[in-house]
Amino acid sequence: MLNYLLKKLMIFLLSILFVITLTFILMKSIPGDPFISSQEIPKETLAALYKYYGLDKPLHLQYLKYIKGFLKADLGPSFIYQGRTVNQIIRDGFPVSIVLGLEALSLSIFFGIFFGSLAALKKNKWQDHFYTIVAIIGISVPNFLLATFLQYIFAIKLKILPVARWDNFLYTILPAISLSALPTAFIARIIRTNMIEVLEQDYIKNAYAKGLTHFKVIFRHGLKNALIPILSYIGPIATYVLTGSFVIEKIFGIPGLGQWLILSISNRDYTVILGLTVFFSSILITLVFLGDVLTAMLDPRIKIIPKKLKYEK
Amino acid sequence: MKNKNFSFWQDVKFRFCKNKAAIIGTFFLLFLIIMAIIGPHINSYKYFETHLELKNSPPSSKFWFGTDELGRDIFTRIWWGARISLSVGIIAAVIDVIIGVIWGTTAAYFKGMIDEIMMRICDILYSIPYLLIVLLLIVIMEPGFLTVLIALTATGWINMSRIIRNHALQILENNFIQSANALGASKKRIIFCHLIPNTFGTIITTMTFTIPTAIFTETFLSFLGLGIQAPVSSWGVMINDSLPALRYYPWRLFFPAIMITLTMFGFNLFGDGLRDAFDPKERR
Repeated sequence: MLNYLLKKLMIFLLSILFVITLTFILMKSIPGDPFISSQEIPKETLAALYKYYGLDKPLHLQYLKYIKGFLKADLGPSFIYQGRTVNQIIRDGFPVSIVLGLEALSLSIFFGIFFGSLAALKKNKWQDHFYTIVAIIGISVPNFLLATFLQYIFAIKLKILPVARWDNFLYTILPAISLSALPTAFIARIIRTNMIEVLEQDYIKNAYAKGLTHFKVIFRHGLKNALIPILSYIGPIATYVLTGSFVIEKIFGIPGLGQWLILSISNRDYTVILGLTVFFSSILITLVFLGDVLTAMLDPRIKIIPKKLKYEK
Repeated sequence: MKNKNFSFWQDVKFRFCKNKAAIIGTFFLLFLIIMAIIGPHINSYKYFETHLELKNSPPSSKFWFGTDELGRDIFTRIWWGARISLSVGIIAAVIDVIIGVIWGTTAAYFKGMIDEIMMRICDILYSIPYLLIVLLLIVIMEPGFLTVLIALTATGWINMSRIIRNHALQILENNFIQSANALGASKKRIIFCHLIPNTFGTIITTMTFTIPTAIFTETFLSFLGLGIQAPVSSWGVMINDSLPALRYYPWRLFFPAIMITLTMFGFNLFGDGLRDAFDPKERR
């Protein structure tokens, strides 16, 4: 167990270092210059600018400075927006993104579990087939299309919900729904498979034999055990929700971090792209790591897997 | 019931053909491929040909799917976009498979330290969201077909390698590998004649799921304006172009949107069917 956790921890640290290094190398190999568009700048000012941002130093020093900054949670200034730092951008945008993300996540967990277990309980009946088809549709429709579609129907045609921007709860409904469709389908599928497997176990029969009600058996014994494998998918799901928010925020004009990332890419705003990528990746890598640790703690089978069998996982 | 022996592939074919959804998916994909080849030539318009006096016209007998903001024929552009999307998807999937098979089988065959190092490299790369890597690569390269392809394969091979390695490890435990070893087969022979042919099922199934992911990523990038560039058409480009005028000309969004959805749907049905056919244990 300890070995397993240590190994995961090492991969976690290496991954974060890798992200920092990769983004650094990529940004340094970009053709062009952050100040190139402003041609009016005299040479001395340019030199001063380079000096101010530390761009005149050799590469390895810039790299070390960047890592040091990262450890101190300082991701540097923006090149395009004067006086703004990456930290400020994160402070402004992240709360918005996290509200949207959590809302989408809770929606998808709730409906995913609901539809997944219903499909499992009605295995091979019409309800099951119906949910399966809905799940495949949910996986097939790209989120930006769903978002545009919902926006068109509910905001433009029916005028029930606001078209865009971000003020109160009403504004969050459409973006959250469009973001949660795919994870819902994904979770429902996993829950269905696990639930069917769990319901065939002996302890379920035992629970019925004890005289527990159907309801209690399903919730206490069935669902609880079917939920554990979801934890190991928390990483991929969170990744989807975060990266999905890039377009969703663009479509609904939400001032979140995803919007900033896309904006900084079109502006070629070096440090912001770099900082946001590192920030996003660190969060997701951490989530994947936590998911692994939690699964290992909750699922005792992971401890006792002998070395040889582990490959067959 | 007669007891008849089926070969593995006959068995797969039988199970696949019994799956109605998979057959629907297959027919749709075939239709899509045929239309991608002949579609742009059915009427006389070219995908870049503009008719400024007829811009934003609704579907009619002249322009079957209507025209866009520069008066280009949407019907032709849809099938031209299908060409781009399908070729991006298929080429990316093939490259993924080549790298994945080499990486995965090597790791599985040699085991121990080599396997450990190769797989940890995968773990580290895999932990970074692939869309972020794709976005970063797009930033440093000129947007376009080749860049999208490079960005897709730079991250796509990892998943393929992991899946193939895990499957290859299971195969290596089998008796026929030991027999081959005992008979003095060379490493090369075992890998190429015994290991790789037995992973075909996994490879094909994973490929059918890679292609829609690649198509989705291409559309996503084009939608953000970072992918395929005008005048070449792609579904993402068409969707992105149609959004500002959505209130007035909804058909400009409708056609590319429905095509993407149907394509993803077709690939998912086809892939699910294949997976169930290759590995009936998974089916419940």
